[in-house]
Order: sequence, then structure tokens, then C-alpha cells
Amino acid sequence: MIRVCRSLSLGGLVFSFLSLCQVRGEELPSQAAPPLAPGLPPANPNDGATAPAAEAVSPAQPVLPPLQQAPEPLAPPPGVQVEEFVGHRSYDKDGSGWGWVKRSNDPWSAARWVVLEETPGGVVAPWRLLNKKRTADNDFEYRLRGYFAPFSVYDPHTDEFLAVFVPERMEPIGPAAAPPEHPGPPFHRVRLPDSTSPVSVTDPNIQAPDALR
Amino acid sequence: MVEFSSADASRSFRSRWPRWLGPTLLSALLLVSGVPRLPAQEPAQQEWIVISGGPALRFFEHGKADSHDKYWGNFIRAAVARLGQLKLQAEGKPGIVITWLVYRPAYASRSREEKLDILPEIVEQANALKVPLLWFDTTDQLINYLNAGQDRKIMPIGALDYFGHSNRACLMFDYSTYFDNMSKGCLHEKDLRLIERKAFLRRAMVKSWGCHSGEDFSLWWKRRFGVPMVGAVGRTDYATASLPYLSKGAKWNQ
Repeated sequence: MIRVCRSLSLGGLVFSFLSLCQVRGEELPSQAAPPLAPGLPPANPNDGATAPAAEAVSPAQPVLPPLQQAPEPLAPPPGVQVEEFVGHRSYDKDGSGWGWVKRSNDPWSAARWVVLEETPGGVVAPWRLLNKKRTADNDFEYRLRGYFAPFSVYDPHTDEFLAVFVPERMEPIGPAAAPPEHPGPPFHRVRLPDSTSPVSVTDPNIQAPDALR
Repeated sequence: MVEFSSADASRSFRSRWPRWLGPTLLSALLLVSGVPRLPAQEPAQQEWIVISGGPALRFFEHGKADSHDKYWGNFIRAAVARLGQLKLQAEGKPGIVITWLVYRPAYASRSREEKLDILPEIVEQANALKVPLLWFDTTDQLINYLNAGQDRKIMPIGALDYFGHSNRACLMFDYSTYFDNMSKGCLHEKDLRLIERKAFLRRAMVKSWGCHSGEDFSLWWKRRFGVPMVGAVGRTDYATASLPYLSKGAKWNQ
């Protein structure tokens, strides 16, 4: 009798284990994925209520770009100081701005839309260190150290002059919802068509004339 | 012009219109149509200027579908070709000075990137042409030269040619040199007011060989200086070893 009970309970255990595995296998196709980072709202808030199982589903953790530090401390122009900032990367399909940058203690309403000054061999736009797609770090936040340059630069695609941020250090924080005050790039008064790109060179193999060699 | 066939008609006209109206109407007409220009007396001296903007860094342009400036010297060899033409035109005219202005920072950056000595090569070109070469590092320097590089009362600018990046609203002396897809050193149409009207000869020949200048920049130029600027509606192409040509569907405008 005891043997029968033991075998039954053992069989039940094995059955339960197997059925559990089967069920979990259906529910969680990607068990290796880590849980969703706390504090991040679901993509669609309504989804959470209708599908509780989705809470257990976790997307793959985004790959963060590496921390970047300039090889030398920056030497800003007189009257300008290197400070701590927070930046929110916001990809702009129409222009060449990088994202919103504010001082650490300021609200996002005080953020400025900036162009990032990149230094080949130094601090560059983090997307270059990911998969080379400009959208790779869209809606990522960064702790920044640097300063606002005292000049602006011209974006020929939108016919605008934009503020410049010079980074000394860029430390990724991770994905974050866009600030409500700045849900995306700013509105562009003008969008010049793609054909307004500057001079085209159709022959990539063109060589310098002898006189210039 | 209205002509009256008889004294009666003239008298009746005078009787119908007050005396002060004639001169007033004439003045208003002159104001509307612009002050009539006397045939400009060709000054004994004038300066012909050629401006070369600079190339992009490959760091920024590499891998783009529409990658610019694979060869660093597009705006140099085109300017050299134009300078050669101008020198021929200036032969036998001792009052003409030809000057070549080149945006140095872009060539210095590209030199570092490609580990080439580009600046001496440009100097060599100028020496071969026997043309004075002047570097400029900022737009302010360029504007200052246009305004006061020579005494413009004695030596106005008689010709200006621009080779470089541009769009419909701006001449860009650098593009993707300091900032990806952007320009730090440029002359926007709204900044044309910084250049003295009288710096140019009334019959000056002005041409931008960059893309799209004829779409808007030329209009602002004409409005500012009264001198037409020939510019492209559409794109220009620097793929030949000589002057750039219009891309398919483009045309010159002024």
C-alpha cells in the first residue's frame, strides 16, 4: 500500500513537473530574458490589464553603449564651466540634432535641443559604438559631463541654427520614456528635401589630377 | 511718356491738374522704378575673388548612402580651373587683381585625418598660378575681407566665384567637418546684410557653383546688392577635374 502510494505520489510529482514544464514552455518562449526594468511603463498601458501573463514576459535587455571619457579634460572657453548634465537621446529623422540636454537639477522643461560635438578618437555619439544605426540608442538617457558651446551650428536640412553640447564624459543610464515636455525632436519650421544635400560626387573612384598629386 | 499734340491740349492738361502734381508724380515714379542708373564708369582697379569651401571628414561621411567628398580636392581643382579662366580674361588689364580665398580649417582637419599635407599642396597651386592665396578660418574673416580687404572705393569686387557646399539658403564653407551633417562656418542669406552693398561693382559677375544657390540665395543676393548671382536650381556635380556641371534636371538661375 505504501509502495503504491509512494509510486502514485512520485508519478504525480513527475506528471506535475512535466505538465508545468510544458505550460511554462508555451508561455515563456524566451525564458532567458531578464525581467523588465522596474519603473518602465508598458508600451501600451491597456495591455497590462487585459493580459496579466504579459507581465511575466520580458523583452531582451537592451544593449547599452559603453561609458565614454575624453582622453584629456576639456578646456572650455573663458566664462564657461564643465558641469554635470542629463541627456535624453531623441532621434530626429528630419534633422541632425542629437537630443535634449539639461542640467542635472533642472526640470526637463529647461532642456535644450542640442547637437553633440564628436571627436574622432574621443567621445562620439554613442550609436556609433552600437550597431552603427542612428536609431540604436533612441530614447536612452545619459549622465553627461561637459558644457554648452558658446556658438551654434547650421543644420542645412532644416535651415536652423542649433545649440552645441561638448561632452567630456557620457555614461549611459538606460532606456527611458521621453520627457513629457519633449516627447520627441522639436518642430521644424522648414524641412528641406533630401535633394538639398550638398555637392554630390557621382564617381567614388575619382582621382586627383596630376597637378594635385 | 505722354505727348500732347497741341498747346491747347497742354493748356487743358495744366488747367485740370494742379502745378505741384507733375513733379510729385515724377518723384513717385522714380521712387517706384528705382533711381535710374548712370552708365557705370569702369573703375581703373577691381578685384576678382574666388572662394573655396572645404571638404567633409570621412569619419562623418563614411558609410552614408549619399557620401560626400570622397576626394578632398573637389573645391580646389574647380577653383584652380576657374582661376585659370580669370587669368586669361585679365590679361592686358593691369588694374585687375585676382585673389583666392580658401577655408583653411576643413583642409587642416582632412589633412590630419588622411595624414596628408594638403595645405602645402594648395599653396603650391596658388604659386603655380601666381595668384595671391588667403586663408580664412571664420565667416567673419571672409566678410571682413569682402568689405575691407581692399579699399572698396578704389578697388571694388568685380567678380566673385564660390566653390563649396551649399543649400538653397546658405553657403557652407564646411560641412561634416566639425559636426556630422552640419556646418559651423557658413554664410546664411540672412547674414548678407553684413556685407557692404558698395563692396561690389554694379556690373560684377557673381556665381555660386554649389548646389541649390539659385533657388533662394540668389534672390536674397540680388535684393541686397542689386547685382545678380548666378546659382543652380538643383544640384551641381564636381566629378570632373574641371568646373562643376549641372546635375540632371538642374539649371542655372539668377
